[in-house]
Amino acid sequence: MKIKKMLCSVLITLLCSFGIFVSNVNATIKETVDSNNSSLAHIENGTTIVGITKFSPNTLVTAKRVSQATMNDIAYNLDNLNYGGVHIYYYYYGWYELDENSTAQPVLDQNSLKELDIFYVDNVEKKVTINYEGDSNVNFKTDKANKDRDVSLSNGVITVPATVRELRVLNANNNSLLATYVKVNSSDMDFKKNPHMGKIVSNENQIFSLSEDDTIVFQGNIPYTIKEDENTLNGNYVSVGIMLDSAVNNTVPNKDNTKVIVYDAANLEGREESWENDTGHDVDVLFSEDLKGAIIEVIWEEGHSQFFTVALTESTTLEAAPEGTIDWDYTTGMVPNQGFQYDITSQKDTIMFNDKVAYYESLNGLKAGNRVGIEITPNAKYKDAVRNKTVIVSIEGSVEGEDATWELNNTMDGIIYTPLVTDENREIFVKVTWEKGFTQTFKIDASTALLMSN
Amino acid sequence: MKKTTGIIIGVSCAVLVISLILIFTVFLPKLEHDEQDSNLTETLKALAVDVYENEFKTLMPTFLEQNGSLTITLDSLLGMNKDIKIFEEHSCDYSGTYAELIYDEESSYKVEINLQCNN
Repeated sequence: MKIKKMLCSVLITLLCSFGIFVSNVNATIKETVDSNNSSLAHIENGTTIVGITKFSPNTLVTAKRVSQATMNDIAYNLDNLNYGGVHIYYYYYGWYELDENSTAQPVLDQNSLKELDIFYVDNVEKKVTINYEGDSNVNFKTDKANKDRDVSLSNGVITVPATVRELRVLNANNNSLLATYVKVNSSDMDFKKNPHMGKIVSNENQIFSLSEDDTIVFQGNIPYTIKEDENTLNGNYVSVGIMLDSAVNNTVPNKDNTKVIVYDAANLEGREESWENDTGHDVDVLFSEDLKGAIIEVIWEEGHSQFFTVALTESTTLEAAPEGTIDWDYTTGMVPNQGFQYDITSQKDTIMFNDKVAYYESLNGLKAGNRVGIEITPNAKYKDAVRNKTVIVSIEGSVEGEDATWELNNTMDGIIYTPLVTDENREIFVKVTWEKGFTQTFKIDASTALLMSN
Repeated sequence: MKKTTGIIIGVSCAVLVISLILIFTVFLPKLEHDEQDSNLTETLKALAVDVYENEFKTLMPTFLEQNGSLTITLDSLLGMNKDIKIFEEHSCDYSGTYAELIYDEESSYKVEINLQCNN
């Protein structure tokens, strides 16, 4: 009698386990309230939804279970920038949402919940399967740190937790990649085998870098780069390459479908580039003092993206732009035997004269009037260029006919300019093109200066 | 008299030896184990509070008050890319090892730790 009872309980346990197994493997991830839809699993009356988890009508939804479901939802949405927290719904001939006071409010847009992605039922994760022909001595690596150990291989079938979007099958002896499986949409039940995948490498020989998985980190001093193309910002760039991982897929990506989107200091919203050539695509990533990291998204094809991270270590420095500086040329502008005030610190590349400006009857043969001198000192990089007068200078706001009054001072390798300041001509802009692609605009502001009479 | 002294010395030595054996085999390992547990407890507590304060609470500020408690398992922490190597080294169970944050009107919440580790 006792043995019969034991056998019975073992049988029941086995049947239950089998039942759970059958109900979890290959149950569709997408579920619907439409009872006429035979292709999707159904959400029944009395169901509670917590994020990506469904609690069946017969399940007691305890605080502990809600808490677990909430954590699962947060972990699932970890990389989702638009994620705003878990939503709790209840279905009974229509959808109700549980608000902060645990009050059920009817959902106004019922159609928005007609189909839902459900990855867990009663906190048990659904499973999907992949037919696998190959060596069985393998390890698994997924895109979710806590799911690797839940992947299994048995009789040529890999069973994978439903939330996994990418699975890599590795040789257990040497960890070499045997196959990659990727879901195009998270609710898919099928994985795409060996889709295009890339590896990120550095194109910089002079800057130390380390790369691991889809991340590359640079360490050192990032030089300031001047771009000849006027539409591209100058700044601190590193060049990286996204190289096709031939171990996964040898075919050339379709250049029309493959897009590269770079989110960096040049464009936080992302700038789109087309895939360059058969083996890889180079990307210049811009950093700033405020943004020392970037994301490169490669959309291999619709629904299949890969994200790469480019980062700088904390100690990495950004080389300053080779800018010149503006200052007062003390030989001109001051009324004799009086003090003279000016300001070069309040605004970048601006000198503000707010004192008395002297009147000159004749200054080096220039037209009579109030004049105040400035000197522009180039960055060390351009000293030779200034000496050889290869820099291009243009002036806006100067008195007609005096644009050509530039002179180089042999002792300082800088530029001296002595503009005429009149009531109508108090703001003068000096544009210096140090080299193609790099122009610096200085402002001479004498709007509050007192122009002395002769 | 001599015999009695010998017995006393013998018994004393035996007690001393047994005490030493007990210290080395029972008390010291227990002390070490307790220290290890305390270390794991503090680490798990710090991880759970960090997740709650910096990630969970920003998304759902009233959840704890409404739900009464929040359980953060090792599995959840790993799923959120937290470093749980120390627990894996001690073969802790991913579901059985957890921090439970319990709503408390006075102190906002208190944290209870449950460890299920093998060594």
